[in-house]
Amino acid sequence: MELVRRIAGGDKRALEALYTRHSDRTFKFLLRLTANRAAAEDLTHDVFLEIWRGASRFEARSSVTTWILSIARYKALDTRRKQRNLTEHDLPGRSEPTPEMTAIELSSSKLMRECLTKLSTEHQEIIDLVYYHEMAVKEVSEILGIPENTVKTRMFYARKKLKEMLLSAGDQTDVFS
Amino acid sequence: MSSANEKNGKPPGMDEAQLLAPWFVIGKLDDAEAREVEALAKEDQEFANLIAEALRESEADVFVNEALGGPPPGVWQRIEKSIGQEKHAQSSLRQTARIQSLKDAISGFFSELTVPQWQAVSAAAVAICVIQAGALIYLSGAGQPGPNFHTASGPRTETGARNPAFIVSFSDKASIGDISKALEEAGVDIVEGPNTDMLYHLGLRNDNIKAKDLAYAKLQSSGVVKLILPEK
Repeated sequence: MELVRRIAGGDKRALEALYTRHSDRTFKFLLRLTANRAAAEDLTHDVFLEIWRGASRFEARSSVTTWILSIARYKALDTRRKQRNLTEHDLPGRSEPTPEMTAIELSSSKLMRECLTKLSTEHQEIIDLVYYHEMAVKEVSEILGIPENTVKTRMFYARKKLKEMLLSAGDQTDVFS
Repeated sequence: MSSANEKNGKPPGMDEAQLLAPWFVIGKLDDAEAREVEALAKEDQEFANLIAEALRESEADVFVNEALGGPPPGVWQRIEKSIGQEKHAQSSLRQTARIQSLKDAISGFFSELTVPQWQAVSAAAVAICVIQAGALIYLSGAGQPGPNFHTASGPRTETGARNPAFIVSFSDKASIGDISKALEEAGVDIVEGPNTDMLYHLGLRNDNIKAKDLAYAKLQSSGVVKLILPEK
């Protein structure tokens, strides 16, 4: 909150501190939404520029993380409306594999990971917000702009879809043992 | 698609604890909800499996996200550049706005004048010019009967100044009263002028060298003349 107040007062160092703290998760969230690395970079730039311009409008009713991810989501959806020419090359999961990744790919988690990247954007989004960004029901509700009950049921259907994909891929014994 | 279903409330056959399983896994339930989920997991093996399943999903999702990497350093540099450009643009805009505001105020003042007001403003301007010219003519003695200034071809005045002694230009800030007083103290009168360059010829009332020097010094220190040259 203090950082946002300082940003509102034109303190660029405060913005840098906020960027250092939140850019990584913001970028990942955007990359998952856009499936395009260049677009995610541009959007990360846009999000933090928007924070610089609009810090005085932050009302502290939600956490800073929730606020940033709300801006990120809005920017991503707006961009997606304007351009829908994403390339297969940019899809997440195609990044250079690390030794750790290679090892895990050999395990049964590989299929789960692949299925997670193939979910619809709506389902990916809510799964990421809960599992990766560790957002409570209320926070997800604020970011997505939907009622809390809808958050719970959307998460339920996202998980249901993931389970269906895993079952159809023939991995039921490994994943649901 | 799930969108229609998710708005119709709780999915069939699901209780609240089952819906909250993902948030139990990430530790984002309040104490009462967490206790309810834990109790159910202890007594219901199927529900315990559901929790384990959510945990695997969570681990896989964290892995997927972590594998994405972060933004390259260039992004922050671009943000800094954009902020710099915005600051510069805002500064230019503020300056332009100030000039525009001044222009609007002036243009607003004149555009709001009615025809009679325009006439009044014009008449006032003309009146000021006439009064000033009249005052200077009076000081030069033109208002007195008979010739009172000397020209190259004309006669000398009887009571006023004699030969032109100085050429002067009065300060724009000097009032008529200040000029009259300075001329009186210096013992000179305006004998000719103003010409097109707003220069006046002054003549000495007491025409001798000593008086000329004294008048010169007094006029120079009076503060009402910005230029004074002795006549040849």
